[in-house]
Amino acid sequence: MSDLGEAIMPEGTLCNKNPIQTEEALKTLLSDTSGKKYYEEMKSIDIDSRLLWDTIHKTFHSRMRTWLEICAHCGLCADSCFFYRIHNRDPKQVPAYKIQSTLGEIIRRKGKVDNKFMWMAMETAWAKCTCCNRCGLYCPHGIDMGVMFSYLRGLLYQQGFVPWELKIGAGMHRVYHAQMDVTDEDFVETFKWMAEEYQEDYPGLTIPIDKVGADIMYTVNAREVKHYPEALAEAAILFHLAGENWTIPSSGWEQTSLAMFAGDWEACKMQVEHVYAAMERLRPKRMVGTECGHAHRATVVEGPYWAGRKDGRPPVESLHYVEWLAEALRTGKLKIDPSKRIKERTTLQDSCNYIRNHGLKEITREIIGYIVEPGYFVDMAPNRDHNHCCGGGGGLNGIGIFREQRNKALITKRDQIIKTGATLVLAPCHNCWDAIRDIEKEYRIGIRWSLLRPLLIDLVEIPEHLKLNE
Amino acid sequence: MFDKILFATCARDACDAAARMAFDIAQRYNAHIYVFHVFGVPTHGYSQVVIDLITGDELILNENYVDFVKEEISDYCNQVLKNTKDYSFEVTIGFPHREILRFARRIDPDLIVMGGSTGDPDISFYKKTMTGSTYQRVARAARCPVLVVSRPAASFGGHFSNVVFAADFSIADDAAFAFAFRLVQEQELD
Repeated sequence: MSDLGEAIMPEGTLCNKNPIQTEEALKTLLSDTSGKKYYEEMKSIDIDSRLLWDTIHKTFHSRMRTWLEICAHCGLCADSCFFYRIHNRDPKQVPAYKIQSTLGEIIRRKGKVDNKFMWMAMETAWAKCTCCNRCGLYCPHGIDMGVMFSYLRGLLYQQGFVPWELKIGAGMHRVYHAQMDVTDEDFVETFKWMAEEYQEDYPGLTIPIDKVGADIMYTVNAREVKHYPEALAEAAILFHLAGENWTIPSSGWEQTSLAMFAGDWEACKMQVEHVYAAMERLRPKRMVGTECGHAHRATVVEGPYWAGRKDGRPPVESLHYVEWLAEALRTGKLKIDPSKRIKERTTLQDSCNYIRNHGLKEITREIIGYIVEPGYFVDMAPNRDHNHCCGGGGGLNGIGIFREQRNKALITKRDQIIKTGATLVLAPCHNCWDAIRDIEKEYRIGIRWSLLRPLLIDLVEIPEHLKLNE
Repeated sequence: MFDKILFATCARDACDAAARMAFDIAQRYNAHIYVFHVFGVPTHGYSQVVIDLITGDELILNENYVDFVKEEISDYCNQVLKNTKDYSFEVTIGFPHREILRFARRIDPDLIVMGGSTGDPDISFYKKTMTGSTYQRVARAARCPVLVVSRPAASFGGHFSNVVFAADFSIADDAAFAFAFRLVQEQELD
């Protein structure tokens, strides 16, 4: 019997408290199309209230405890939340309400909650919050509900209440140390392939692998290997043209962490430790990550805490791609042909995870100063740390059962873009890029969108000594 | 001359002529023919959703759907398969030009055969006369000759009778001429 006096139901074969640890388990879960059986089983799984309360005792400390207690219910967080705004200011979408009615309630009930409650909490945690942390900026007490939702996801994951795609995603990190089924061999081979393909246009283009003591160690998003290998080529080309002493690690190359979105704390730790091990093995001066927001947050911002590093820093100085790019342009390592600058009304997506959550708002604008003709750039309103989430953050882009909520969540960003009159949206983040692509697919507002790298390839001047001799 | 042929098909009418030619060449040279089809592009981030390249519908990738696509390809190639013994099917998701080149790198074919354009010629006349973006991207990067077949060649029985080499004196000409010369020499063509 459970603490509530109910008969304990057996756990499901697909939906249960066990993380995915093997390739076989991954394939089994993947074969359940859209998670149909998974979600059916979820309706019957029991809550281990003892485990839940025990975990809370060990992990729910003074900061969050204080946050939950001192909330004045002033409602200043309401308008800060794009979910609240697009749902006709529904009081149940106020961030304070959302967290108090889920995590707050779990605490008040000392973990004695039922299956129906956990379903509601799962939907709130993944479809009513993208962990963009904008509410934390507007709360007069600095209460960060987005951070608390990240924590709540961990409690839910532990009990088996996690969206199907994220259970798979966390499993991918446990099995492959990557968000997709991409092995270390796939990664190295794909990078080599890209170099071979582009060597004719860029003589001398090579991919240094496992070079010790390089200036830069580059880490990527596994989806670039699987579906967008040109992104690897572009990165290699720009490092090559900039004359960088760089390398890729043959292992520990994945900067993203779906485990972070899933709330799989153990896998979060495993994932970042794998990347930090590469840093310690290769001892680069710096690590530069790809154009991805959550990858930066996972490995550079939160990662040190997952790995128990008391200084809160990765083993080596770690930069978001835009930091490296701005530096390369500033120092003249990369030069832009001014005649090729973008002469199209352009706007910029300030991605939550490295702008609001890591302060790089002026770095991206510095880059724009080099690549967009003056007079053609229009900021969204609001922008910088006050910008709204793309609508698909926190893993929401990929979750099938919450697709309707996600499509509605795109409306805020859609309207921001429309108001700028821009036809080109710069989105230096894979997740934002996906969301903006879906905005165009759903709402047909007549835009094109791009990461920064592909644009730079067309704009950058090739140094004389690297030019192709015809 | 040709031991391995990669036939990259969109599994639509646009590839019919290319299919016949690819299998004719394979039979003539006793080559293994790889029938390769990219059936969907990924979407929605890390999810299992793909957009079917033929119907435009969103679907969830799973083993059953992959088996279904393989069956469709087999049906599509039914007529030409009757006389072919040495063939295999490969289906995958991704961006077509990229996956064709990835597969080509893995199997190292002697020839890639493709259709011209999948665009509907009833909508735009130029679709009949221009090669599509997939072919252009594959031809640019492939490490072997790429044969584009846009319309039926009624008299083609699997062997070439003469070769026209069109030169623009670019770097790529060297490789193209080397292949043309070898073909003419080995097959004793005009």
